[in-house]
Amino acid sequence: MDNSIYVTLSRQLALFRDVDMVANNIANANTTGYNSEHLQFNSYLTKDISQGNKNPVNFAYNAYSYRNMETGPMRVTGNDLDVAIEGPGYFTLDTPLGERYTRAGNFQIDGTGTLVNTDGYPVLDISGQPIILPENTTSIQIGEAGNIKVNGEDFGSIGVVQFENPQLLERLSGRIFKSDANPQPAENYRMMQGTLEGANVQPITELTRMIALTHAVSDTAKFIEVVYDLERKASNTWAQQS
Amino acid sequence: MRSLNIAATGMQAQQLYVDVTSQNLANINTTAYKLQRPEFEDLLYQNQRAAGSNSSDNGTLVPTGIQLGLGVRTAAIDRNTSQGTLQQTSSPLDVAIQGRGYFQITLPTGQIAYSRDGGFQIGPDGSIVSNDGFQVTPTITIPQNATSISIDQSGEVSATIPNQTTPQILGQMQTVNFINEAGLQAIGNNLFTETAASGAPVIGSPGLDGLGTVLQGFLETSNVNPVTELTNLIKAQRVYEMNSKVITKTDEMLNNLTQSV
Repeated sequence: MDNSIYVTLSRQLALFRDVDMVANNIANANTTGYNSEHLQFNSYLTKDISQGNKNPVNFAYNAYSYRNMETGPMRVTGNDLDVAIEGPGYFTLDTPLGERYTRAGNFQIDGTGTLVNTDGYPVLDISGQPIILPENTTSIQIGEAGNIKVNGEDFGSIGVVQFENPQLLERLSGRIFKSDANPQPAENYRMMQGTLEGANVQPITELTRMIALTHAVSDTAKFIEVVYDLERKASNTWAQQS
Repeated sequence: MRSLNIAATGMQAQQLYVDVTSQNLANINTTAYKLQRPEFEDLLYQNQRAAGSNSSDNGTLVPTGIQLGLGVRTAAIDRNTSQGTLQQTSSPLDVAIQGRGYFQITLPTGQIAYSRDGGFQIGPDGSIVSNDGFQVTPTITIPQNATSISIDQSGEVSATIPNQTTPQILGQMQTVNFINEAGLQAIGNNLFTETAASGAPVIGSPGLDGLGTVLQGFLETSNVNPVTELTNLIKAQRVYEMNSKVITKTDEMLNNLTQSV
């Protein structure tokens, strides 16, 4: 059997996966701290020439997806508990399943005075402890290094960590990441109070990608049609001659 | 095709963004209204190829895997509790809180609600009531023959009575503080009730223990910034459009496929 249909099929499956990824990026275009995800294609070679095959066949397949780690656009909110990290780094959250990491700095205070994220997970300070604000808190200032001042007095620091290979972080729902590697204290970052980091989705890139994908899908569909046509002709010729 | 469902979650989220923004814009002239803001977060991820899995029998590892996200959902609608601007009204019973704090309003059911709307009136029995006629706690009664009422920064209410040289002290207004104001539950009519997330109310006098002072003859306006809201509206609309484009394009692709079969 001819390989061409299967090669095209492999491309089509890979394209659909890419469509899903583009759709997810666009759906999260207004999600604070969201990093867009992109797919990397690769070829999968069978019937290698080096092994004496005259017709090498390359199947398309998705090798891996990678996260765009550019800092997203900064949006000033004026809310004292909104913090954005400029540069590399993640906040550490204390969840029931262990430590998780996030770049979404829209924090709140819960009923006990603990600084938490939108899901209620405590945000940890540089020594890995939750930050519990006193009851008479009237003002909170967060400096560039993450140092907190409550009512004008020093009150610890928000911890920021980084990873040797941040691409290895596993994405979980809720803009949080999980890591098997141990975090290191981050360097070269700047914290901004009253600001949130928007999604780093590039709407134009995503939409043009979507258009390109539509054409690619229709091209592959056409190709399958052509191959099918050829095979039909071949079998007709064969039928007439016999 | 997951993209259809993913784009649908995106459209729902942006629809909510428009809803919340229009609520903010509708309340731009509401006394002491606090801005609301939806917070979105990404949905589950499907691990199609896990990072760190074996890529050959020799033990080489896949450096990064394929994680397919499944859309967006709303995590929370936050309330921005920052101070609104103060507007002079010159009405003696209009009181604004500068800083933290809420007035206590007793609902007809006996439950205590909290409000920053200090547009008070005098009830039929002479006591200070809210615009809806609900009792302000603690009860302060204004004598019928009072010619003028003054409220000082710490909330002490006094009245000038004819033929009396010194003003008569009528009572002390109290405000309450919550450790997490954003956790209060809004019940409409500018009123809030306590929840587990807000923490218990801490009652005190204005100006003490972190509570803001009160200002007579002023009202706190909403803290909604119309420019921000309008840009949010544009953002929500554009992202909504993009998501609907994804649906159209996905439909086109499926159409292509079904036609070629």
